[in-house]
Amino acid sequence: MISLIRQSKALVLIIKDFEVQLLLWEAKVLSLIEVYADFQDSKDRFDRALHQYSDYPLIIIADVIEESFRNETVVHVAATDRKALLDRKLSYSFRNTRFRSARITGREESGRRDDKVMLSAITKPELVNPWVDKLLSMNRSIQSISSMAYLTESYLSSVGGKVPEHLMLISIGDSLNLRQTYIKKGKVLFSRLTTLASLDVSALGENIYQESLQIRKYLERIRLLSYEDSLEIRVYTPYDKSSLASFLHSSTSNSFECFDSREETLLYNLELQEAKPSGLYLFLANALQNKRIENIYANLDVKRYFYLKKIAQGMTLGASVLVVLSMMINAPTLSDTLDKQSLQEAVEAQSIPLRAEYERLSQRFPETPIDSKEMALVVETSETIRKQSYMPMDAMNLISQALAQSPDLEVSSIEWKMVENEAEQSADQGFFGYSPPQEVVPGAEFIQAVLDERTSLKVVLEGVAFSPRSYREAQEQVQRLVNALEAFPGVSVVPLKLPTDVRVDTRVSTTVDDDELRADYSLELTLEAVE
Amino acid sequence: MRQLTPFANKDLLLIKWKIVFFILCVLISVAMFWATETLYSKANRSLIIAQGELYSARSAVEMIEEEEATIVEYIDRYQELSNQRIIQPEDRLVFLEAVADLRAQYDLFPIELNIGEQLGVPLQYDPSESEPGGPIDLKASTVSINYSLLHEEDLSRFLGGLLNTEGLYQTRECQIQTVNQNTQSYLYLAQHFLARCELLWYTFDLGLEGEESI
Repeated sequence: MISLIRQSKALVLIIKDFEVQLLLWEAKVLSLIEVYADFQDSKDRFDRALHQYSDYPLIIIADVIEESFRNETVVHVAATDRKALLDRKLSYSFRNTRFRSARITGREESGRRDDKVMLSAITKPELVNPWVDKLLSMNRSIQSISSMAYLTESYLSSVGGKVPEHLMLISIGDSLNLRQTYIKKGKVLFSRLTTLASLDVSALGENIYQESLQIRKYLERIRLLSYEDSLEIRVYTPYDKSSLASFLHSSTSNSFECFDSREETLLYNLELQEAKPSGLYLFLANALQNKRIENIYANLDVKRYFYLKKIAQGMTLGASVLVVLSMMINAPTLSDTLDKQSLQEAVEAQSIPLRAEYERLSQRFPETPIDSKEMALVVETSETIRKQSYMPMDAMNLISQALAQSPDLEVSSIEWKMVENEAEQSADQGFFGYSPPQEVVPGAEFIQAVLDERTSLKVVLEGVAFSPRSYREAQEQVQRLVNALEAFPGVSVVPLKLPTDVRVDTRVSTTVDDDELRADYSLELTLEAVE
Repeated sequence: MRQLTPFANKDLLLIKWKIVFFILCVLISVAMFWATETLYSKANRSLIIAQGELYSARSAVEMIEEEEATIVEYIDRYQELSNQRIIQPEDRLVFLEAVADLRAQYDLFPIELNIGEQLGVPLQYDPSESEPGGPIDLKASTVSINYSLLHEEDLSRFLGGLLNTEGLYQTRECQIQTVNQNTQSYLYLAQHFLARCELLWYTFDLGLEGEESI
């Protein structure tokens, strides 16, 4: 993951006015591997290096005099139109080079509040073009094209600490080239490479001081810096900083501070052969170690192989991740599938003996005229009917035995009848106590009662009681008959009519004479079914 | 042709194998998903079918055992019902012949006989029965008998004889009453009693007639 943010490896081509250096960034070590006087000089060695490090992306850093910075204002437009506006502005300002860039640096504080724009370009593309063309012809990926000025900005943002609003960063390079970069609120607004007139190191301090004042005046003139603004000037030198410091007189407007780039670069692994560890290598190593170097000047056409390589890497990674993810996602389902297959086999194995058992039972199954359930229903129903089939003679025999207790009673009629009882409401049928009425075939209510075993037996006995002597005796004869009948198990008797009705809530009418007493009586017997 | 990407075709050809690899991996992933889902669905379906077959086999074995037990329990009684012509349609001619034979056998007074229209009651299986049998109707005809008796025995012998003939009968009502109790002497051979009985004559309709005709 960190390698996606930081630079893991790269070939860095530093293009200077007087030479071109090829550095290798690998395993956090920045090594100078080739130095070419110019493109013609590089021919075979550059090819060899490219072949040797065939899959290393190329980073091109321009540290040339011919890098121009312009600060202008443009009308503030929507983001969608801004790119077109800046492209037009760049085409107008730097027509002859493809290595150009524009960035919004802020907005005017008054008036139309236009956008402040900083345009920069490598104005002598011939310095870079041969290298770029060579790389593109070999389908090599160019990751970024930047410059020393932008490396400075990157360095400042990564070292931390409070960055002053107005800062000039001066780096002394090889051949006593002086790179002066003006940074306002952390953004590069101007940079210039100056070749000092004197190569005398002892005069370096004075030269830097004079150049700094001169740049300040220029910045004031182009209104990037006001007269009253204080400017902090940091000088990175690969020479003795104490000899410089004595010439750099700080004032309220300009405050100087010196840094020994040899000491600063000790924090990084640099193998620079004979090159001096100037600010350029310090800023470059810092940028490579902490982040990826931002592309400033390479357009899509220049970076196409880099993008294609990234797309290819992305596709490879994405495809691999996709396959791995698919396998991971599908693994539980596949496991479930295998489990289900095992379970299926187990279930099928259980079915086999059952099927064999079924076959065995089927073969020995007795011959039946009808389905067993139909058979059971027919038999059960017939037995239900038989259970409720009574012989009237049984009741008559019972009455006959009881009459022995009352020999003077005569029987004129016996009515034996099976009656249907009311159906009981079942509490567990239906919802909320509601039970749908059972459909009964019209006219078959009694048959349904038989099927439901809701029948009982009633016998109505009518006759005449004789008594030559008293009413009481006639009454007692009937009462004896009642008692005799009730003595049989399951028999209850209700006298419907007695010879003499002696209840006080009715009227009694009779003729009292010498004739014998003859009075009708009527009894209702209820016989419970006795198993 | 319109350029779909900002890259020239010759540049895109540089990563053609990566593109092929990517497409292949996407296809493999899709195929993996499809194959896994298909296999899972198939395994799931097969398991459900196997479980269903196991359930069916168990049910079939249980059912056949149950049926066998039922048949063993009921076959004799059913056979008896069949022998008694209870599982056949009513044969009223046979019934009338039987009544006539009984009358002759017991030397009875003339018998007045009415056989009513046959009613059919569909029998209900136990509601908890998951696989009930075919429809069965209980058929019933009401037989009304009126005749005079010399004495009470005439009723008991006739009824006893009738109820012992082939068929399933149930006495529903029976009334016996004296005739001119005050005037007649039991010493004379005469119609001393009047009997009126009502019987239910049951048969079972299994709906086999149609099947037999097929």
